[in-house]
Amino acid sequence: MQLRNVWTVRAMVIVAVLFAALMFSPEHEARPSGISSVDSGCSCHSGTPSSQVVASITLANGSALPENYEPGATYALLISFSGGPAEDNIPERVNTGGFNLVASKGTLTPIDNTTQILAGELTHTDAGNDQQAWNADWTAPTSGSTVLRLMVNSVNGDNSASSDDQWNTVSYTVSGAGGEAPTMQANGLTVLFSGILLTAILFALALTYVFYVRDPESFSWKRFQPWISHWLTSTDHKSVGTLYFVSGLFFLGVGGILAMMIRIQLSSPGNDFLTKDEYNSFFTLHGTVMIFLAAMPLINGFANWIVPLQIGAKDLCFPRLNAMSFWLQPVGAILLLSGMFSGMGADVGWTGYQPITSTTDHYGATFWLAGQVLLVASSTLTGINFIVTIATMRAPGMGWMQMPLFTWSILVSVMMLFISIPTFGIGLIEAYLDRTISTTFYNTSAGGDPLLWSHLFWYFGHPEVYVVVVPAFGVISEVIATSARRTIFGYRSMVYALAGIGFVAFIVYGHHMLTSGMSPLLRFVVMLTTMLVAVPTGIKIFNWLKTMHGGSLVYRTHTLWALGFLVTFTLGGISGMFFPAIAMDVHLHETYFVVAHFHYVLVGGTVFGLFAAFYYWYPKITGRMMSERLGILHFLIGFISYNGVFWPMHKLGLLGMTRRHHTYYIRADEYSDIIGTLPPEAAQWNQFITVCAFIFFLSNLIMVYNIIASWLNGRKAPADPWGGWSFEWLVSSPPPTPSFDEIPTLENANPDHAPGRLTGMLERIMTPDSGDEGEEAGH
Amino acid sequence: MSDDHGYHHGPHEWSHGAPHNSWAPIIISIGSGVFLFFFAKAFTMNEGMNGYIYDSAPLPLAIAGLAIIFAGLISWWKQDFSFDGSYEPQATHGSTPFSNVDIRKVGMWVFLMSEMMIFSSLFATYIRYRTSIDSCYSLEGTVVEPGTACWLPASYFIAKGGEHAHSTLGFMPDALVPGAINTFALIISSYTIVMALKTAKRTDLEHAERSIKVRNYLGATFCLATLFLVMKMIEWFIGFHIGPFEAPSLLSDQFTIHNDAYTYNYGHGAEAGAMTVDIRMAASIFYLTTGTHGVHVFAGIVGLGYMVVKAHKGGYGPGNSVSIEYFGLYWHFVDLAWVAVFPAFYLY
Repeated sequence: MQLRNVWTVRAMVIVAVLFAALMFSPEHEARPSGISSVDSGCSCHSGTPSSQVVASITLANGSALPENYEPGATYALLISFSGGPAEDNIPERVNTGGFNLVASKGTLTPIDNTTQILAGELTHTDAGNDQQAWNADWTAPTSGSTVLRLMVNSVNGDNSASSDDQWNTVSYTVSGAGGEAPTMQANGLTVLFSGILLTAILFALALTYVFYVRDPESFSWKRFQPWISHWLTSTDHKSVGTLYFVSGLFFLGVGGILAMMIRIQLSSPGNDFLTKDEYNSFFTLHGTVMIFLAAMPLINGFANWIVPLQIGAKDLCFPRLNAMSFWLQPVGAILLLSGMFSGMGADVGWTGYQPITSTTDHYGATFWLAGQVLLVASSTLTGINFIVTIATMRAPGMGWMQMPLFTWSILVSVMMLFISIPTFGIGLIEAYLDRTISTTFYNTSAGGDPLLWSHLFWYFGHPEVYVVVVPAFGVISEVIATSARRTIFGYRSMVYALAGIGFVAFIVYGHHMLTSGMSPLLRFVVMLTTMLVAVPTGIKIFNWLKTMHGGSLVYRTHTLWALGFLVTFTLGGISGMFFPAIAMDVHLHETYFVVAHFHYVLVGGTVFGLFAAFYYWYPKITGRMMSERLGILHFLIGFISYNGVFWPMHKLGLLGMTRRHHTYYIRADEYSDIIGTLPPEAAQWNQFITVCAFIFFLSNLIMVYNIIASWLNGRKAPADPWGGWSFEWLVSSPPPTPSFDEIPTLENANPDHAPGRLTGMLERIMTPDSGDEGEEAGH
Repeated sequence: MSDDHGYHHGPHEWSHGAPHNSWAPIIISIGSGVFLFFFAKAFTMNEGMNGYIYDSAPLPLAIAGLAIIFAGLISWWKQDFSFDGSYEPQATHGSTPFSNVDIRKVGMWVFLMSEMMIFSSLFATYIRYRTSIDSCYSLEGTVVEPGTACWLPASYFIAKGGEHAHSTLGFMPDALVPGAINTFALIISSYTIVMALKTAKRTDLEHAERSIKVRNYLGATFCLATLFLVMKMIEWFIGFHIGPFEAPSLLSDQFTIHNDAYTYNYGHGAEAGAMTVDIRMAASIFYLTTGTHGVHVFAGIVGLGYMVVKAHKGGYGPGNSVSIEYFGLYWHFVDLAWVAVFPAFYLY
């Protein structure tokens, strides 16, 4: 009990540190370095402000700004500056003056074509780029002090960034009726990500402290250095797999927090918890983070850990390339999110549709593209590694048709990824160059075609969703077969179904573009091929059911998640069958029905599969048993709240709620039918979803706690706690390094069983040396 | 086998023999991130999307990113330098259809599969725009808005470059000379890399003599690849005027990705006319595709630089010739890609 007490105290310290981190997250406003992208001709705020330039805001009639505003009144402002190189008045020079005005409260409104609102801030337009004075309206808020912050540029106008250009800034405070102290409003995204970063740093510090307290004697750099350099340089498939888990779980949390913010925003109609810009960034990063930084690394974590063990290999074939696949991920992640810290995250959706991706004035989009280029490189290396490892390093006796289904699923998944992702990479590079050196691939004025991006993206993007869900199929096959204490029903058909999904994935992507005006004939073809996907998927579902039917099921946590997967994935698959039907797709396009569908397959499919995998392989990976009690609690809360989140979204979609919209409005009563509004029940459903979403989010912390606590205090695990019979259960838990002292040989449990006709033929054709071929074919 | 077991965790001797822990992956990754970050900081498109705002301050940092990548490569090479082929990992016996094939060979072929997709995507972009944007030739004589997007292929500028010099060569424009030299340089370099492999496999030579020969063949490949990039720079940026041969560069011909007001003069005599047209798309895809190919050649040069040094130190012999073979696979692919790029972008 003594030990337990100490741990409780430590846990409380960590929680307190986390809260402290959130409290101290920055409250000042981070600003991008330039005034806006509108200025051509100066790199504005890179240096120190110059005192030669004098900026000022007065009322349009010349009098000074009032000290107290009248609530709701509109003031005509005169924004001006004097001094600096703009006064040199050299003819033929252009774009000599510019400004940017932020009001912490109230609304700024342009009154002529010389000013405009960009990203919520008032700035000049092209037409107003030669002036030194501009007019605009400011509508006062109802209460609270307002800070008007003006930045001006005085530019020499030679259309290049030169050191002569000068700038200055000035702030005015206009008090409201109450006259309270002014506060600067920080950008929500910046605060959130700074908070996450700070939390991570403080967490690392707290962890170091725990290490120190445990053993102050041996707490030294000398002991720490081998540990840290091991993790930074290891190429062992198990270490790299663990690194994938850590980064994947971290970003699963980040993506989850983003989702919670989105849910708060949508919890009531007309909400302004997030600004429109913030909302756009939030859903973009939620999608990107979840797909590329959470789902794929977690899958890679299991692939790294389990595939070499399952095929009886000591490691992957290219261990250093494998380490590089991993290290490109966190670097890409930082790059991808770096736009956050200037408050200008990518705001283009995870699909990055053009031409917005090439033209948005959120600088974060450039870094979003750059980060994903690195993730593409990472996936390519992963692809090479796994394809070659599985093709060449299988233990003796393990033919293609003897491979465990998880390995098969990883093979099919990386095959799809590997073939499709270069296309996406080229699209990204094109867009990146569009945004940097101004090529014109997606610039419509130069003949660029946004649909080309759609093709390049969805040629990758559709296989990508199978890439993240197919490994879950593999996990479920392993889990259900082991839990039902029998072999999987219809192994051969399972393999062909996987391969079928892998093939069909490449010919269905047109259904993402059914509303883009493609030819009706092509739509029809895509409709047929998309519906074809249901065939192999259906085969798998029925095989799983039949496996359970013929077996005797043991209800462990991983079994429960697998059963949950069967339910939710089937529901997601059925709602998926609505979309290939062209008319239905046109009707449901861009509604919450789509959101409901893909969360049912991606959360109910991939994430549930990954949860099952965590509970199933945790003893193998750490050598400890996980707490079943907590696991079942996690499943019950998680499964119920998950359905509470996403099931009502079908309803919302049918009611007409559009996805990716900042907010929604409801009708006053059922008789007023204003276009674009939703019936009142939509607000109630949204509130319900938000509550469930928080429960679902928090329920997953149970698993995180379970992982950490079991790792520290769990029961020692035997080599084969569940009674599985693939190779990974042969080695001790955790496995030694190298993973096998001696490569095992796969023996056939049923020597009378001859290979199928196709396999037999393939083996005859493809095995070059005839010496012991007959023996091999007998396996 | 390798002696530098300074940082070594566990008995990881089973496959390549190199030390099992490596700083190279994390260094190369960070370098790539630094490069992409500061490159984006240095260049930002302007509002009209017809040019960029250039800030010189981050550019040295972008170059520093490249230097970090190179440092990572050196760390990688240091581990590989002692590799003498004695533990070349092979596919397990019975792993149909790769029984007993070198694993690295399979890896290289799989890698080339993704390279294939890279160039396919570039050609998809090219074909998409080439077939949909009107050719400027087809607009001749019609009334077009100034700045109308139309397609003037690079081959037009290359042929026009020949006009400047009144085509000394007669059978082809002078401006095609760098491209023609490049094509032959690559084809010959494919031959020299094969000769390097063949020589490395020879058992009838002394090791020292063989090493020198292998080094020379690899060095020749290196020089031809460098020649390729030099010629490309001449063709893009510098132009040339040697004796009777004279051709302006594509840059001085105003074939740039920012030229939305190119003055296209056509016809002779009574049918002559001029149009102001937008050729940015044709230039964008030309520079991206040939540039991507150039980056592949550059990567080959970097790899060849390492191999020349290793050959000079006697690192290649009959027991370790396959490294040259696998580099050769890549090099042949780069050659083959050029054989597709050259006619599509320089001749058509």
